[in-house]
Amino acid sequence: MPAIWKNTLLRLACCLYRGLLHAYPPEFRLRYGAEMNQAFRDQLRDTLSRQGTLGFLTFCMRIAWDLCTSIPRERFTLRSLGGMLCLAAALGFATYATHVDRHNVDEVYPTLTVVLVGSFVLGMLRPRWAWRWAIIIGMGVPFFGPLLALPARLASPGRWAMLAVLMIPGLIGAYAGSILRSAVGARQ
Amino acid sequence: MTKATDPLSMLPLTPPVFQILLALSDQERHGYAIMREVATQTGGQLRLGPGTLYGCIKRMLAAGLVVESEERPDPELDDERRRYYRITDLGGRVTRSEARRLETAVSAARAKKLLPALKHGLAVGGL
Repeated sequence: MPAIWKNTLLRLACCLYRGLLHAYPPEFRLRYGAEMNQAFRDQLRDTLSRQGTLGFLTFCMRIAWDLCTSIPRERFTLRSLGGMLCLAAALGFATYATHVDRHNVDEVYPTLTVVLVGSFVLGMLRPRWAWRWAIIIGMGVPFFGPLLALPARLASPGRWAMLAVLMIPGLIGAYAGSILRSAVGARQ
Repeated sequence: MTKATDPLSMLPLTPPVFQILLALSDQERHGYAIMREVATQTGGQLRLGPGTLYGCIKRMLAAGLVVESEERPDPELDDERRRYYRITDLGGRVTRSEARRLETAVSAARAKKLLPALKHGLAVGGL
């Protein structure tokens, strides 16, 4: 392989790899990104000079496999698993709120109670950015309802207006949970 | 967080971690040198990619098996931006324990005739 091609390939591959490093969590990338990039460049340079094009292809497949296995390992730690479980719980509360609303067409309080309780529990478990739980659970009725082909009543008041109404107990619940968690943490 | 100091509590090691510890057992090395040494000592069967290597190093640093070396290479001999890693005493004990564990497994395989018996004298010694 001519030297000019080799250098161009090396530069392009390093550029691409540097971009792919953004798939790792930021703290990991900041600490090891430069070293990984350097190791990649050294390895690639070695492969190109010793094994040529065929070696380059094998190397690319090995790096692709390395990225596919190491990125999820760094991304999905136990902490992020907890976060995902909370998100799943929030979606569960949202679906349940939709279900409750469907079976209590003339009453609004049961739905508001589900939103309040769900936001409170999740606000207590994950106090940071507690408002997100109010949004996720509150979005359940106006947005999941039509998706689940529930009665047309759901669409009539306007989805955003309904979300705004549900956000009030959601925010109260989420921040009450968050404050309670902080208070308990401070006492301990 | 208190780090476990009982080597047995850290066993079994994953193949990449064991090979990285082996690579560092005789001298401190930087990332690419570890990758080359691992490929050499496994006869090319295990080739670490940068993601696997630094993921392992992150966990090994947290467990106290390796440390980042304070010394920097001579800029004329090597790139001074490279970081070198060194095995700790705990890392050394864990490596020996893992090697003993593997040795026991290999002995069991020999006893069951899954592996050819060693020629006299080769089995003497150990870690």
